[in-house]
Amino acid sequence: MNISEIRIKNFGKLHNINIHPVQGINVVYGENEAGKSTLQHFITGMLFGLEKQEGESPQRDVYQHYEPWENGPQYGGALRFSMSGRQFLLERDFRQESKSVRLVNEKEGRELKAEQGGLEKLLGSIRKETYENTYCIGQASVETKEEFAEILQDFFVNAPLDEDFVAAYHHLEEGKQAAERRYQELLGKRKEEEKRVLAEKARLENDVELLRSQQEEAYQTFRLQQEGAAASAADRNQMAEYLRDSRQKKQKIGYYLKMALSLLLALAGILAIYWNGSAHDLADAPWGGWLALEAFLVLVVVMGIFGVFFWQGKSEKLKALIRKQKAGEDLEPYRFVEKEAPPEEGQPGEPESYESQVQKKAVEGVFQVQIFDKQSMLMNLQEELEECRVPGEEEEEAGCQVKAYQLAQRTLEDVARDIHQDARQRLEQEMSRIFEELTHGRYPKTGLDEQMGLVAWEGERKVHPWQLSRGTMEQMYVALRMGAGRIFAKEGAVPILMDEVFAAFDERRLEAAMQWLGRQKGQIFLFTCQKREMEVLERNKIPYGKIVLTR
Amino acid sequence: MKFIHIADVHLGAKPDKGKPWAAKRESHSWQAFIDVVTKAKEESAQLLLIAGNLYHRQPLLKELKEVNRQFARIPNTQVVIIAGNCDYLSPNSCYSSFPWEKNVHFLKEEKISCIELPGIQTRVYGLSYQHREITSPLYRGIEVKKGDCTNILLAHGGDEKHIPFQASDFREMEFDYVAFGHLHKPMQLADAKVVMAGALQPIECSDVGQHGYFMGEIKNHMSQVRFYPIHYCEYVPLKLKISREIAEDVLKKFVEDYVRKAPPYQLFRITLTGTSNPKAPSLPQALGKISRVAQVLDQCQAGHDLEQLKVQHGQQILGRYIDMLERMPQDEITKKALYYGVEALMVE
Repeated sequence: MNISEIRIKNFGKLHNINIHPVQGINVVYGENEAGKSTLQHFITGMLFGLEKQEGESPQRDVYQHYEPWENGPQYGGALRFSMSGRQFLLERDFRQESKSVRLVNEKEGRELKAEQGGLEKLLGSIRKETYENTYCIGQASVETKEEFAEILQDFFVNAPLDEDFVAAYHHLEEGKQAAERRYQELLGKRKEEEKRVLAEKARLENDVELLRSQQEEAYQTFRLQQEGAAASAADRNQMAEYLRDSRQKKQKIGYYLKMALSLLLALAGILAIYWNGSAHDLADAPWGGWLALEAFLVLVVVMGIFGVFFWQGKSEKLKALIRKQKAGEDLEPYRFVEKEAPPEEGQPGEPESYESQVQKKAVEGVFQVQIFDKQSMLMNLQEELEECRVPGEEEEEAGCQVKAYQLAQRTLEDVARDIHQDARQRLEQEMSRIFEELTHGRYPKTGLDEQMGLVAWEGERKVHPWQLSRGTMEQMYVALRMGAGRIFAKEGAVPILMDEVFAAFDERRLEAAMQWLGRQKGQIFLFTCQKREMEVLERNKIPYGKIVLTR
Repeated sequence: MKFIHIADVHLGAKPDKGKPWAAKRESHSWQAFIDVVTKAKEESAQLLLIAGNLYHRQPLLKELKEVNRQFARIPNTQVVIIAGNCDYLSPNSCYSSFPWEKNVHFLKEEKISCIELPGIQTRVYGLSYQHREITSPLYRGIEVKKGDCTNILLAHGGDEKHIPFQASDFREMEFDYVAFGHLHKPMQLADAKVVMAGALQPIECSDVGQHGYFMGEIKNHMSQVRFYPIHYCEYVPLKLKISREIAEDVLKKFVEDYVRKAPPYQLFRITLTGTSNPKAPSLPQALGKISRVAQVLDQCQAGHDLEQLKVQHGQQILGRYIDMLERMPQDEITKKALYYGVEALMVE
C-alpha cells in the first residue's frame, strides 16, 4: 500500500487537512500537541475502522477522544492509495449514527464491497490487534500488549487457524464422519449376525448334549412315548419351548423360595412361642392375652410347616412335568425319521416286538442320525461364524477410508504445525537480525520463550527485556514488532507507523534504525517532535518526505 | 449320449445378507436346481453331472431328502455327484451315509475312483473332498481303463488350495469330457472338452455375469456343449467414472434410471472411479440405498497432477502435505489419505 493522499475532514484537532505522503519514509514532524498522534490514529482508523467503546472513559477510547465537539461536522475523511498498480479511494464516516465506509477502485470507477471483506482482503487479512502489535507503534507503547503473546501463542503453538487449513480440515472431518457411519453400520450388522450365530450355536450344543444323554435312555424314553406321555406337536416351536423352559425354571426357583420362606416362618413362630412362654410368669400374667398370643403363634408355626410341604409338592409336580416334556421332545425327531429311516437301521414292526434288543439299537441309531445332523449344523454354524469374523469388501473399504481420513487429518495438522514452526524460526531469525543491527552486534540472538516472552542472548547470558535499559528494551520490542510484521502482514500491504519510537535511542542506534528503515519496501510514517531523525536520514542520504504539522 | 453338467449349486447359501431381497435370494439356488432337474426330464438327458459344492455347507438330513426327492423324478437319468470343498464329506455326517436313489452315484473317495454306468456305456471318474482344502494336483496323470466306453472326469478345483490344474494337463488323458466345478465363472477351458460349469446361480456379489448350466452330447468320443443361462439373479458390474463436476443427485438419478430399465433379475455392483467430490462424501452410501444396488465400491483416486501441484505449492500447505505423505511407506491408506487431503485442500 502506498498512501498518496490523506484527507481529514474532522478528526480530533485536525480539520480539513490534505496531506500528500511520499513512497518510502515520511517523517511527520510537529511540536507537542501539533496532532501527530491524532494523524497516526486517523490512519489506523481509516484502515480498520473506529468503534465506540461503550463504557470506556474518553481518555481511553479513541473514538470519543477524537470525536468533534459539535455534532454538525463530518467525523472522518479519506485515504487515496495505490496497491499492486491499482488506485483506490477509501472514505469513512466514523460517527456512530451515520457510520459508513466506501472503497472505490478509481481507475475502473468501481465500488468495492468494503464491509464484506473487500478492504480486509486488500490489507492482507491482517487483524487490527495484530497490526497494533506489530507495524503500528503508538506513542510510548512500543512494548507489545499481553494479547500479542496470545496471538503468537495461537499462531505458533495452538491449532493454527489458517483459513485453508480450517476448510480442508472441515472437509476431511465430514468425509471421515460419512465413512465412519458407513463402517459402523456394516460392522454393526456383522456383529449382530455373529451374535445370532453364537446364540444359535450355544443352543445347538445344548441340544447335542441333551441328545447324547437321551440316547443313553433312548429305549426307556421310547417306551414312555409309546405310553402316550406328552408328545409335542410335530411342528413344535422351539422358541415357544425355550420360553416355556425359562418360565418353568423361574417357577421352580419361585417354589424353592416360597418353601424357604415358609420354613423361616415356622422357625420364627417356634422361637416366638418359646420367648413368650419364658418371658411371662404363669401366675401373674393376665390370662387372656398371654394364651391368645400363644395360640396365634402356634397357628403361625402350623401354617409355616404346611407351606413347606405345599410348595415342595408343587415343585415335585413341576419336575415331573419337565421330565415328561423332555421325553416327548427328544422322541420328536425320532418320529420324523422313523417313517423313512433306511432299512439297515431297522424298520419298526409291530408294537409287540419293541421289547427286543434290536429295537433298542434301532432307536439309539435314530438318535445318532439326529446327533449327526445337529453336528453338521454346528459345523456349518462354525463356518458361518468364521465368515462373520471376516469383514466384507465394503466394510474393509469403509474401514480403510476411516483410517485414511484420520491419517489425512493428522498429516494436515503436522504440516500446519511445521509451517508455523518455520514461521517462528523465521520470526526469530528476523528479530535477531534487526536487534543485532540496532545494537551493533551486542545481542546477536533474540527469541521467544515458552510464554512468547522476549529473550535475548548476550553471549551465553540470557537477557529479559526488563533487565535492559529503557532504550535497549525498546529496541528489542521494535525488533519483535518488525519481525512479526513480516510474518503476519502481506509485504507492503499496510504502512509502518512509528509514533515517537526513537526518543530513547542513542545516536548510533538511531542511525542503525534509520538505515534499517531505509531498506524497507513499504511506506513508513515516523512521527516525531525532534529533528534528529531527519538529520540522521539526511546524513545517511536516505530519501524521505517531510510532513509538518503545526498547532 | 446327452448330458447336463452343473456345479457349485450351493444349496443353502444365503447371499446378500442384510439386503431387502436376501430372503428371495436364498431360494434361488433351490429353484435353479429344480429347473435343471426338470430340464433333464424334458430333454431326456441320460446323465447329470454335478461337479461339487452341490451344497453350500454340510447338508442337513432334510436337505439331502429334498435333493433325493428331485433325483427320484428322473429315474432314467444317471446322476453322478462328488463333494466339493464347501460340502466336503466329514466322517460324522449324514451326507456320507445317506441312502440315495438308485440312479444316483456318489464318488465318495478322496482319490480317483470310477463308476461304470449301466446302459449308457459310460465311465465317470472322480473324487470327493473329505477336507476343506486339497493342495496336491490329484487330477494329473489319470489312467483310463481299457474298453470302448465314453470316459468322463468329474472334477472340482482349480486354484492353489483346491487341486490345482491346467487345462493342458488333460490333453494326454483319454477323457472325452472333463466336467469341472469350483470357479464360479462358467468357461470352456479347452473347447468343448474341459469345461468349468461355473456357479448355477451367483453366490457372491463378485460372481458377476451370466450363470447357468452346460448341456451337450458326446458322440463317438466327441463332445459338444452349450451354455444355458438361468435368470433368477445376475450381478451386473457398473463402473461409474465420476468427477467433482457431477452432482450427487444427478448421479443418483442416473443410477436409478439405469436400474429401472434393466431386467428385474439383475442386481448391481457399482464401482466408483475417477475423482469424487469432497463436498459430497456420502455418495457411496446414497448410491447403496438405491433399490437393487447390491454393493458400492469406492475406488476414486487423486485426479490431480501431484508433481505439478508440488511445484506450484512447494512450501505452502498443499505442497508440503503431498510431500509428507509421499515420504510415508506407501499402502492403500496413505494413497487414499493423499487423495482425500489434496481434494480437501483444493476445494474452492
